Amino acid sequence: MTRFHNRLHADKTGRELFVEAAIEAAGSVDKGFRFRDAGALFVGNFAGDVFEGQGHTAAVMADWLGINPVPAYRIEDACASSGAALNLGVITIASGMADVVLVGGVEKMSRLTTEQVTDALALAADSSYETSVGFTFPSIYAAIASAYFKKYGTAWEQLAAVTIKNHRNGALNPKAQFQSDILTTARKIGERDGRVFKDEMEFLRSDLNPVIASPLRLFDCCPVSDGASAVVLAADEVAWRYTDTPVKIAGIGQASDTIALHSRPDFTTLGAAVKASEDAYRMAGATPRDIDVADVHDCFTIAEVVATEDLGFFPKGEGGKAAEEGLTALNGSLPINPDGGLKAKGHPVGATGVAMAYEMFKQVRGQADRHQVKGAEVGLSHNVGAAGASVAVQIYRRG
Amino acid sequence: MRTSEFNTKAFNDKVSQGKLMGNRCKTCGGLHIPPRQICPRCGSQQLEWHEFGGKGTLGAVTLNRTPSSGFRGRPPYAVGIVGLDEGPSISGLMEVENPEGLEVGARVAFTPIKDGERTILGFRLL
Repeated sequence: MTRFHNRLHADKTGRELFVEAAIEAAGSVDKGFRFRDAGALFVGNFAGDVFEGQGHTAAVMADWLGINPVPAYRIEDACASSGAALNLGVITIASGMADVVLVGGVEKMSRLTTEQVTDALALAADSSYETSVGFTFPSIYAAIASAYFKKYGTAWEQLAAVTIKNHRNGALNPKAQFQSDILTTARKIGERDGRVFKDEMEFLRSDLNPVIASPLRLFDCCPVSDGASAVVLAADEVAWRYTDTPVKIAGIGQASDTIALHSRPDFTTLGAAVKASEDAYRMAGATPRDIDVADVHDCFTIAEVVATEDLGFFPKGEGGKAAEEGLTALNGSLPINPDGGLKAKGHPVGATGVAMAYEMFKQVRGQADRHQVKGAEVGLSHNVGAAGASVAVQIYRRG
Repeated sequence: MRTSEFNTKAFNDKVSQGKLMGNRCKTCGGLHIPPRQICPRCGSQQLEWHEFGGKGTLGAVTLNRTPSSGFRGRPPYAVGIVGLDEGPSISGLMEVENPEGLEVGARVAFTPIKDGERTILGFRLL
């Protein structure tokens, strides 16, 4: 994967970012990999048409990788685009249509203004019945937070614990957009204003962390990012050609839910995440207790809290407390988002699902360097489209 | 092919006339808003218009300070999801004097909000 960033890639288009990520993926294959080995290409991309005036993304990438006439498919499931692409890659191999598949994702978002990005992301909500009354993406997740706080009697402080934890992890990840923890960020921003903050919470409660949509503040939201990601999938029978230490995708799940949040019986859980993870656990013959490390879709801090409950890691209403108590920290009992998550690593939407697979591959092989979770053998990724209308889940095991 | 009268335009036209219209499944009795072409509960395509009373309880709410372009220039506004007394929920813009004070659980009633050419589905405090 490329580094995720909002300025670093200003001069590049999505295709150049994707090819960079694919070259890294190929170069990292222990016994070598040629792009032409791939029998199919799947590319997750949400809105290249809007973000950079380029549609037909997968065809562009197949051309630029020099692999024509290999079949190339663009998958669009909002922010779960490449998580869905990954599942389709797995299904393609399972079907026997191909032994080797290249899967990736890309999004180049930074060309647009914040308002234009807000509009583009809102395309993934219900434009007829949600955005038409004033909802945006941050405000939809803020609405989820309001219902969650009311139901469980919790408050914003638990969300701040997620922010602090994910930025701490991001500081250890050279691919992350934000590579400083909140204390360092507070010092830096405070210096500009001649202000000193005694700790993270004092900074996060201050006017320097403005409310975006109550109760969510700026540091509860993931940033706008450019980036791309890629992984190589191979059938069990041929994986030996590429490596002696493969990572197995042991289970996958994919589920859908209503496009509008208001059509669901409970706003404090994503039903599609529950269903997709149940299916993935069943396929892998695993339970939530078997998971050593997970990347979950924290586009907003409340989303991480809800995800850790939907995936069965913590009881309903206790995901925030788990973050506060350090259970999800890098050295906790179940580390969540060791790479910094969408929050600190960044979220080029179409690239995120496969970037999670990239992280789980590194974790399960013990190659995540400074953000390695000790002894991780089983990983899980959870990639959400919009407010959970699409969810893709994968479970990984050391091969 | 049968064309459906249950569409976004018909729903919006009713909202602008001050009516909150969804539909009712003639097979299972399920109520839906906005109106559906297929009952998501039982799969039936036999549906009829149903007018909702418009009263309900706030199930989720936020004060949005970063609007999309369609809501540009407004002061921070509250937007939320209302659980209608008949059962289903619907999103709406909150037309209240003190949007900061709105909380989940507040009782509200449907009101159409005129905004230039368009009418926005809104709610006011009861």
